[in-house]
Amino acid sequence: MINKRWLLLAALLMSLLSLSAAAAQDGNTVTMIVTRDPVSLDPQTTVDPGAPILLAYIYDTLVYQTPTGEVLPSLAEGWTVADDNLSITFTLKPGIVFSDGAPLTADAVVYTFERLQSVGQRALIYSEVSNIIGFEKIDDRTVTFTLGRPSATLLSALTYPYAGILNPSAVEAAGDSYGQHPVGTGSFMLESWVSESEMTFVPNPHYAGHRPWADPSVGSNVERLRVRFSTDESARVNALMADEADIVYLASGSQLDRIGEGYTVLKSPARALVYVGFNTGRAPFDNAEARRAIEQAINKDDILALAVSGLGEVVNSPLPPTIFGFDETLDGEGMGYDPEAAQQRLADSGVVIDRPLTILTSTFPTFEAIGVILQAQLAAQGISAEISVLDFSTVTEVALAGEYDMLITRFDWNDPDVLWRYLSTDNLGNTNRYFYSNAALDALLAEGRQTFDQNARMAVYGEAQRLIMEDTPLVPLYMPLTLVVVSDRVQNVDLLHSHVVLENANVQP
Amino acid sequence: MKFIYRRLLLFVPTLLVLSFIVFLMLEVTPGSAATAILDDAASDEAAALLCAQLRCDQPLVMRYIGYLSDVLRGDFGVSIRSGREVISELLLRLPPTLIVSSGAIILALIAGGLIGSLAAVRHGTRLDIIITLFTSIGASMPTFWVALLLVSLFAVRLRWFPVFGMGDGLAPYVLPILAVSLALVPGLTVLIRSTVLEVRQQAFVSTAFGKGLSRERVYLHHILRVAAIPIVTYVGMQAVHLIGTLVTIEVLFSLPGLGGLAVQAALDRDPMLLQGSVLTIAAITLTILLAVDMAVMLLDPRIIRTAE
Repeated sequence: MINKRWLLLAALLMSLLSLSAAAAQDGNTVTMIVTRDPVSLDPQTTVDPGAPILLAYIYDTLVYQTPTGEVLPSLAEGWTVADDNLSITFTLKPGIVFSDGAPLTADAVVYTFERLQSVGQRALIYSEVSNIIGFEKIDDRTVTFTLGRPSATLLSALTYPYAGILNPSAVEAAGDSYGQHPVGTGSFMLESWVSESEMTFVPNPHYAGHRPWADPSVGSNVERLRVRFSTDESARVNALMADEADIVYLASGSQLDRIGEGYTVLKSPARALVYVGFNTGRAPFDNAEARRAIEQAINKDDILALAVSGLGEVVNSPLPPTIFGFDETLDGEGMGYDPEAAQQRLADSGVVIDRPLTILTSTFPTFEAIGVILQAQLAAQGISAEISVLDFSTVTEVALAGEYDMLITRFDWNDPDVLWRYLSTDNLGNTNRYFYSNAALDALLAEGRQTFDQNARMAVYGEAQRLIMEDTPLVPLYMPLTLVVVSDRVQNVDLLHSHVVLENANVQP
Repeated sequence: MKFIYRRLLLFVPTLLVLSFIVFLMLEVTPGSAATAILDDAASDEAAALLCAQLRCDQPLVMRYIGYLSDVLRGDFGVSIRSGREVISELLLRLPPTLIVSSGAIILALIAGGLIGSLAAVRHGTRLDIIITLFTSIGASMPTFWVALLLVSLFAVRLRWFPVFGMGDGLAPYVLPILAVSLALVPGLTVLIRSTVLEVRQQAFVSTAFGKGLSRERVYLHHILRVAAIPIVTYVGMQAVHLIGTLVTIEVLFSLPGLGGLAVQAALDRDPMLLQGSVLTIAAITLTILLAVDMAVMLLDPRIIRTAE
């Protein structure tokens, strides 16, 4: 008797515990796993680098950026730049409504950017937005921004989800808890959020099909998007295998061999470049010919294949194909791998490398592996090098102190102005950690920042890239890819700058 | 009782020294919250804001004193990354850690107790040898490996339990508890087996048997009571070390717990959050050690007399 009672109890307990495991996927719910809980979905104050991919469900921006870096209208129908380049006028699309029913007006746009200027100091686009010195509402659908100095980079900045347009009444009503009660014009809205556990989004009933990258005639049958968090890549893939998730992000290729049939791997090229920067402030790399010799000695294909499992695209020009200003012809004019020529070039330059070089890099995934391969490729040239792997914040300090010869790192930005940030004289001692200063390049980079005309801007950055390629303060290696694995249960999923686009998605219940 | 008060008083200097060590360690390690958190595109205003938050313009000692006086007023500061109060962050993370660790200890005690006593009772038989064999295999398997096996079998293949996460009742806790307790069972089994064997050979046990008491009564009331003292001490020690195991388990099962929080805070260079989580872990550790001592005193009143 006693034994039977225990058995019954155990069976009951087991079924109670395992009940919910199977109930994870019901109806037209799509479950996605990202790395960390963003803590806040207030686009202006959130500090989580992973927040933009979620913010993009809720918020729309005035303009958006195509995968090749072009800026196109989104909430705005269009814009005009004044002749003196000191003001921009945006016209809003008609009939757009926030998820709480309030209409989108020019007032909301003014409110959004005035608020960003007062609370958004930690937003990545703060510097750009603080250049707007005046907002003028012309009529309900037209607003003019007056700029402190001409800045063509403003448009790229406005495409980041941090510049999402807010509904003033929703922000005021929610007060301090706005980050947990966001309201936007996007195709989804937040339904519930259990901190550090999961958040759910449901379609915004007022969404009018205005997102330019989605096809309004197709639509979507997704009724709920469930977002969960895990920093462990194998756990994310486990959840996918156990049908507990439909969409997971992968940071590396280490789990890719587990993805078999029934899944699609989406690859989205990042607006980023992995590169080797030289310390041009000390021998041997104060000599441009020595830097060029190293570029010729580097086999980028091998680095990509061996260190990054091929998850990238080799790039030779300082701007990758995802950033405006990329020029295919220019990219094709790279030095190319030629170890013999490298040897000759180094000998001709008269530079003698008589000490082991220091390759500095951070603990960022794959960087150490790149360092090891770079070290081997240098060794083939008879150059010895030591690798120093430090955590990211330390690398910044060591690099600024000039205690390195080659720095393996990456930049992430959505505008060619990124070259100004890392290579201009203005940024020496700050973000220019290469001690690089080139007056001709400075002039071009300054011009690019003020040139609104797209063709003229393209030409300026073409010239700037040519200069950089000739002088080689850095060697571009590859453009990284963001990987997203999608179960075949969900069809028609797309990626836009790592954001999983669900406007046309179709899920099998 | 005086003994307990004295021990409780010792909490204060211990936590003080510890918090100062953490402060000092953050100071001497290269890198800072500013470089760890601020992106290259961050504005000067962002840097200034962060600096003000971290009192970066003050010398170390002043900052420490400022921190201490805040803590005394119940203000543990704000996490640099999340902007949330450290105290609410800790309260959010405490339940999963407590559930997993206490669940694992209870389960391990039941399993280890049963298996260990069985091995002791059947001392020298084939069953005893098999148990010994399995405990040595179990003891040599790393916890993260066991956890991975459990996940791939029970979550991915059989789908009895979810792979990770919170919510959905207690189901997500089953595998983590199982993984952690499997790490504790072998040691406990061996300890219980040898202690029971040792106690059984003592004179009072023979007397009890001689009085004609039943075997169950002798084991439960006489042997186990004495054997419990080393077991309680051992479990206390294991509980203290558990936080290290929990770091990997929490990450593996994506449970938002204290272990993962402390590690992440260190990686983010989030000073207030790191301080808060280290102090919480330390306070829990001290409490466990105190609880062990009190339990031992209850089990063996002679210790109270010696202590006082």
